[in-house]
Amino acid sequence: MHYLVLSALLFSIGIYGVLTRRNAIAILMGIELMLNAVNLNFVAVCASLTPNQITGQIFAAFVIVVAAAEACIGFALIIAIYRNFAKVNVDDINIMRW
Amino acid sequence: MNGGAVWWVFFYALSAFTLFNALLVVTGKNLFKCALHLMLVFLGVAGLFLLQGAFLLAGVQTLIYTGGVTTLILFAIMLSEEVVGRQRQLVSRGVSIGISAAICFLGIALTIFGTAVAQLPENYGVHIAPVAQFVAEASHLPMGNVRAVGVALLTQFLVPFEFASVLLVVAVIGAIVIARLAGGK
Repeated sequence: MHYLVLSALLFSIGIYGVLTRRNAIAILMGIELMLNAVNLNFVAVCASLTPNQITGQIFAAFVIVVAAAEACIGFALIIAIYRNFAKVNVDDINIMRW
Repeated sequence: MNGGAVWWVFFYALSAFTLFNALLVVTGKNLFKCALHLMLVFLGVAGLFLLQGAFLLAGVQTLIYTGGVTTLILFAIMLSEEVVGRQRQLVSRGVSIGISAAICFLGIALTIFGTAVAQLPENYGVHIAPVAQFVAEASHLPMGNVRAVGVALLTQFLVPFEFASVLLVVAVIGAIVIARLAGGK
């Protein structure tokens, strides 16, 4: 239960960061916070409900892999955007806005 | 039960550390310092993994997040901003929306926990007793957990494991292509 509350708090902080930041890098940092909260939940719930299995840890490991790939692509996109627009504020980049 | 008390002390200390640094990540003015606080958040989460007995995951977390992703973030900041001497405007994009969304999620999550915990088996949380002993007598940490994770990755979860490696290769090549060819240079 304590881990669940901690994870929910961390996830909420991540949501706040994603929604309030204007810099794309800061938004990705908020997403990393949320992914970490999810990993904590995987490990804690697995250890509590099925103490003899490690499925939660395997899932968390895969989440880490996907998060690493996501961060890699995300920051490459940010650098590409910076080269084209010379800025990374999401408010200013609105050429795809309908 | 002395080991249990030690466990809780570690848990609350690490939780406070992690949440404090996470708040600094989302509210800080200087993006560079935010990234360094994010590094401390990753370390705190690694410590929390350790408290759950997930030794391999704690190591992976330290290596990949604290070592790799933080470096990536710092490089992205340095390549896309004039870091030294300038501080861009970071916050105030709908702060009220952010706060209300976070509080909404927190309320939903805590409500779900409140109803779900009532249905948990009686021995919920008992598992911390052996982990507390590990923390208390750190001299002989068991290595069986790392071995179990490795065996599971290479037997039961072999296919996703291989797909993960393919995904990483694709991501790395894609990142290089995106970052190099953008802008027609």
